[in-house]
Amino acid sequence: MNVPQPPCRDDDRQLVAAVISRAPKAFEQLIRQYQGLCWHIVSRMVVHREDARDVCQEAFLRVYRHLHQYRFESPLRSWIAQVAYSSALRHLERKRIPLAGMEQGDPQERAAEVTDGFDLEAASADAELVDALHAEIEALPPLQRTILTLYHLDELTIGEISRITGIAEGTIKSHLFRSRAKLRDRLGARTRVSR
Amino acid sequence: MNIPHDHNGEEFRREWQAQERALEEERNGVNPVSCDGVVAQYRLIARALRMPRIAPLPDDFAARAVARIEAARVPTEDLMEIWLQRVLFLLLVAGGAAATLGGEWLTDAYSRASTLARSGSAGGWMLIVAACLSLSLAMEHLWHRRRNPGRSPR
Repeated sequence: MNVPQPPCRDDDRQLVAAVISRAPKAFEQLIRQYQGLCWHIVSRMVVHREDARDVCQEAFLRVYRHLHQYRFESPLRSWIAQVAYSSALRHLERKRIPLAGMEQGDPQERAAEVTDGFDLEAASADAELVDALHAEIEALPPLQRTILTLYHLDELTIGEISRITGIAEGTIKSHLFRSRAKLRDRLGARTRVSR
Repeated sequence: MNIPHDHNGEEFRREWQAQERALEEERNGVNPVSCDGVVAQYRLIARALRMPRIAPLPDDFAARAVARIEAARVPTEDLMEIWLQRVLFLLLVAGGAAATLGGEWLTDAYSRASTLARSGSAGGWMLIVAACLSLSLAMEHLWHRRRNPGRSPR
C-alpha cells in the first residue's frame, strides 16, 4: 500500500535554495531544524555516544554534499531522515553489528495474563518498573528501537518509516506489533512477579 | 501471551487495536479511565517510548557540524587551479605528440592564425588575443601558486 507523499513545504524549498546558494547561516539553520530527528534515528541505531555524534555529523555532511540532488518529491524531513538512517546503517555494517537481531521464538505456553486492575498511574510512578521498561527498550535490536522511536516519538507514519528505511510497510507494521507485544510481555512478567 | 503470527487473524487485530488505542490516548493526553488492562499496559509502554532516555546533542552541535563541513570543502580557487593544470597538461601532451608525430598540425594551426590576422577581421583578431590572454593568465596563475602556495594571486 502506497500512501501519497505530502508535498514539500514552501519553507523547506526556501531553505534548500538558501543552502545551495550558500547563504550565510542557512545550513546551520537546516541542521538546527532537523538535528532532533536525525539524532533520534542515529542514537537509536548507534549505541556508543561518541560514535553516534560522529555519525550524525557525517549524515549532515552528506546532506550538504547531496542537497542539490533533492527533488522535492518527498518532505525534506523524510529525505534527511533517509540520509541519517543510511549513515547509521553503514556504521553498523562497518562494525558488523546486526541491524534487526535474531528473531527469537515466542514461548508457546505462558502464564495466564494478568491485566485486570493494572493501574497505569501507579505503574508510571513505580521508578523501578519504568527503569526496567526503558532497559527492555534499550535491549531491543537497533532496527526495532528505531522504528518504535520514529513511530511513537517523532509521530511518523508507517509509510514514511517505510520510505526512510527502505523496508516494506507490512514488515514495519510487523516489527511495531511484535516489539510492543514483546515489551508488554516483559512488563506483564514483571508485574506478576511483584504481586 | 502468545504473539500472534497471523496478521489477518482476530487475535492480531485485537492486540494491534489495543496498541494503537494506547498510542492515541497517550498522544492526546486522555485521562486513563480505560478499564482495559491491556490498553493500560500499552499506554505505559507508549509513555516510555515518548520519553526516551536519549542524551541530548550538545548545544553547539550545529556550529560544529558546519565547521567540519567548511573544513572538508575544497576551496573554489583550488578547483580552478586543478582544472587549469589539467588543461595545460593536455595542451602540452597534444603539442608534444604533434611535434613528435608530425609537425603538420602545428604548421596548420600557425597558418590558420596567420590567415586570420592577415584578413584583418575584428573577430579573428579578438579570437587570437583572447587565446593569448587566457594562456598568459593561466601561466601566471600557476607560476604564482607555485611560488606562494595557499594564496591567491590577487
